[in-house]
Amino acid sequence: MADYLLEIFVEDIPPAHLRTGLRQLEEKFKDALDKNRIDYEEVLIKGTKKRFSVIIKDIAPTQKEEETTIIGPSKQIAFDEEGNPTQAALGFVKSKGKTIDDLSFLETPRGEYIAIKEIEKGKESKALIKEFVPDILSSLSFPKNMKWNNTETLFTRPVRAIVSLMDNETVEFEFAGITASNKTKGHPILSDVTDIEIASPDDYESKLKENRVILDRKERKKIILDGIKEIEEKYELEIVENEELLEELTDMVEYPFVFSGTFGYDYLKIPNEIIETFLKQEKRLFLMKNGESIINRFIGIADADEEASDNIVEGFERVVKATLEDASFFWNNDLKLDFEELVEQLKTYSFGEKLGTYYEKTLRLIDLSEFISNFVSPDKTKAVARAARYSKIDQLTEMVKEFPSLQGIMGGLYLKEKGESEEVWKAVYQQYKPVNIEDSIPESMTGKILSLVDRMDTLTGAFIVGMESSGDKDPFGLRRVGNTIIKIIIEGDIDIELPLLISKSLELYIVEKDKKQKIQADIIDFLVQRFRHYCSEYKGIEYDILNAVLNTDFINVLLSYNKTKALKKAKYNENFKKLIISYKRVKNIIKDNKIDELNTEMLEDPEEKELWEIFEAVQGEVEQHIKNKNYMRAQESLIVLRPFIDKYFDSVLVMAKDESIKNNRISMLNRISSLFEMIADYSEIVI
Amino acid sequence: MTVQDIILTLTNYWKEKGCYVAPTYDVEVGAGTMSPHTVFRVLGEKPYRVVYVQPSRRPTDGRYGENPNRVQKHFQLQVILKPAPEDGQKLYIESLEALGINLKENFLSFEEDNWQSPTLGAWGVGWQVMLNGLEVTQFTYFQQAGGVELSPVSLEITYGIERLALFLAKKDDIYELNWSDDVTYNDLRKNEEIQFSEYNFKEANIEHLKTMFKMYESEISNLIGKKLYLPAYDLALKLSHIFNLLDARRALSITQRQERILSIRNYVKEIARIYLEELENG
Repeated sequence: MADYLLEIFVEDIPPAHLRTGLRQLEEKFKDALDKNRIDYEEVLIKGTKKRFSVIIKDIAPTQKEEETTIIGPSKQIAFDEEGNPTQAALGFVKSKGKTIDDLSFLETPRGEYIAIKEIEKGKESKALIKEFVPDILSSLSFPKNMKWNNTETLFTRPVRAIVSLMDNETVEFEFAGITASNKTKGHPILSDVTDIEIASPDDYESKLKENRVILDRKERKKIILDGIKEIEEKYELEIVENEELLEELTDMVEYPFVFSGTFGYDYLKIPNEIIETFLKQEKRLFLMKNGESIINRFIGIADADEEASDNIVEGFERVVKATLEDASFFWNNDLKLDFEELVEQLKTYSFGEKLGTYYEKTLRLIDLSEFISNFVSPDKTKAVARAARYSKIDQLTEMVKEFPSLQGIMGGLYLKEKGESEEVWKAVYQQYKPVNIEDSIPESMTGKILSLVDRMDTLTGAFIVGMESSGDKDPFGLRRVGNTIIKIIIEGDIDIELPLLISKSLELYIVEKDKKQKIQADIIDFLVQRFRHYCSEYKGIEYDILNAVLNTDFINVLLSYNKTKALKKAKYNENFKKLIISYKRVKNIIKDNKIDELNTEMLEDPEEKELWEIFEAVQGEVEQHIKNKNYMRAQESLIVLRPFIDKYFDSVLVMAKDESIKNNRISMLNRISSLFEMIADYSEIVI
Repeated sequence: MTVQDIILTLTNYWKEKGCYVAPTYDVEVGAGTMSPHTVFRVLGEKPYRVVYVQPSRRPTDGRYGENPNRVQKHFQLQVILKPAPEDGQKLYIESLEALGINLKENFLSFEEDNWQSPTLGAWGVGWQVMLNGLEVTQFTYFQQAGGVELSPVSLEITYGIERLALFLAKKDDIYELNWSDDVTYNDLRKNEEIQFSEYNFKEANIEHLKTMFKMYESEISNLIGKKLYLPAYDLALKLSHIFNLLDARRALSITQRQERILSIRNYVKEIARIYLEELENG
């Protein structure tokens, strides 16, 4: 068996493009090999900032034979009574260039037929690769494509060489005006060889290594991690971890070298968050810390040889100084701004077309946060309104204009610097938390409320102007807004009725009266979907439980969530399971019949009298638990009913001939069912 | 190596690669790209190679001569290669070597940095080139200009001269650079930075600037009507500079800013349209 190697050598590939490109290559190569019936052991995907590499191990030299069956006339027509072939059979085999000996028989629903099996010989894998590789390459999609030559090919960055080798033989094809060969290039700076000839796929990685390219990503990452560890030990400090940056840098170097440098101690006066943002986003550097406090030392990853160490450290120390000089300039200048004046200036800052200015948004946030706070945490009302008032002013600072990722954080830091209470500054600081469904929510209730109202206001605005998402399109990121609304309410323990919250939020915008109801209903529908998503994707709650809970109502997100938790317990508890089965019998009988004209005088069977008595006895208790929002206890109280329901169905005929008795019995079951459905529609649960 | 040596070496290097050495354009621009030497010449099919030095003015970057690496006027060395050659990256690396930089003893990296100027209806795909963490060059394959897809694609290489000089001199204060053996950057530019910072941030008369903005707008409209796209473009550059001054004076609300950006963009779009029309008509 042979190995196949493909390398696309490209001008520097952005890390995100490299990742998506390699993923697509793996998928598309496997697809193409399967579709072309080419056997292989495995498809290896490797890459650096300058190359996408695919290695197919043990690829079959030819594609698998394909057997096709051509059906002829039925056996009855093909052979006469003596079993000799008829003209029909002879004609059929002749037309296919075969003889009677090649015939086989095929059992079909319409009887037995004669058939001929034709075996199509496999084509050479090399020939097929020539065909499908250019197609795969032109089908790759990147976050941004470009053109660079007259072939008008679209690709992430200009392709400068292609290696295509089956063992030691070049499999030639053309892409983007380049003919595949067995030549590539080493490290652009550290290798002195202009064209590296690859003898075979086996030879590839070691040839690259000789030319200072470490193809294996794991190996690069290990060099980086070892280098970081060495520096940590040397200075007895710890790196401030940043997984995202580490992953990115691993894809930005072919020959990693870890270095470390320092900056002036004085710069530590600038808030840590700002230092970290500037060094990370501007210079892709890691900070170091001693315990919890940031130290004036950084770590960087270069694509260079150790002999460059002195120059690199010296150079980076200079640029870090300049960068922190800028940070300090922004910080000090922005601090000079007057906060009340900034609130005024929000009047000129548009929140969105048709949605008014940030000033108007600020006023809405104040109102809405006071409204919610009065429900869930009245003692926080003042703090939350104050936080809302200053929540958006940092949009106007130079710092946030330069680094939008500092929004919120910056506002919080400024308020802190100006002596605002922790309650208020921290709420502003954390207002954009959680950034996604995985992130944690703000720590304080004030922070949670601010974060919730900000999103609620954005969502309402989006629905008013009709920006809602549809299908798999979500151009305004509203799903994330919805997911995080659900998350804050549930994890923040915010006990408020959704219709109340939405109608208040709507009231704060100018909306025509007759449209309000429709928008409110649309927002609730949208949030139901987000609730399902949060519960199923993030909390592992099964769809049947969600159906059971959502079949009754979706008014209070927190309570609906608590119900799902109670139901999840029930679903996997033997006693509850039996109760659910009994309840399904109730539901099956009453179906959609809502009749409710119970006359207890008419109950005659002892079993039905007994069930009613027990029901009356537990009803109050169950209702009390529900009122206390304790759905576990409510469920436990319902369990008592189980044997009586079963006994009832064993001896009572609900569908009595006498219409009035029948209706009375259904009415009784409806009463029982209603009590269950104060929690959920248990009949939806799949046992 | 002095600043003037850097300019001369790079200019010579690119002249040898077939670039014509264009004189600096004499209207204020924010970047070398905005010069007519680039904006108009990347359009159309005709091959073209140019190198030129362009002072770039960014009024808000003024720091009264007090910041060691931010100035309201700096110098760019701009190269346009049309069509983009296959070995553009190699040519660029060799240009650094021509400056005497031993790249094996330093860390050169190309980091994704796509460029776009909505005002010029232009965008490109490329990198910021970093030397030991210092951005010294923008390296861009132009994809669109004047709202038109470019064919062929041009390669634009923009060197930040002061940055390269700082790198080569291993200095961190721009004013300590030697322009020539006996003239420092401080001698040449410090006073200018102080005076222009005063002007940009304090003295520029907001009402006058707003009036000038309107006057230039009306001139441009007239010139566009007459299809005199070259003077119209010069005045659009003026408009852009006045806008930057208003910005430095923090004289515009966000909505007012937006309106003015849109106005400049529309003029430039119109100018590019006329230019392309003329190009097509030969």
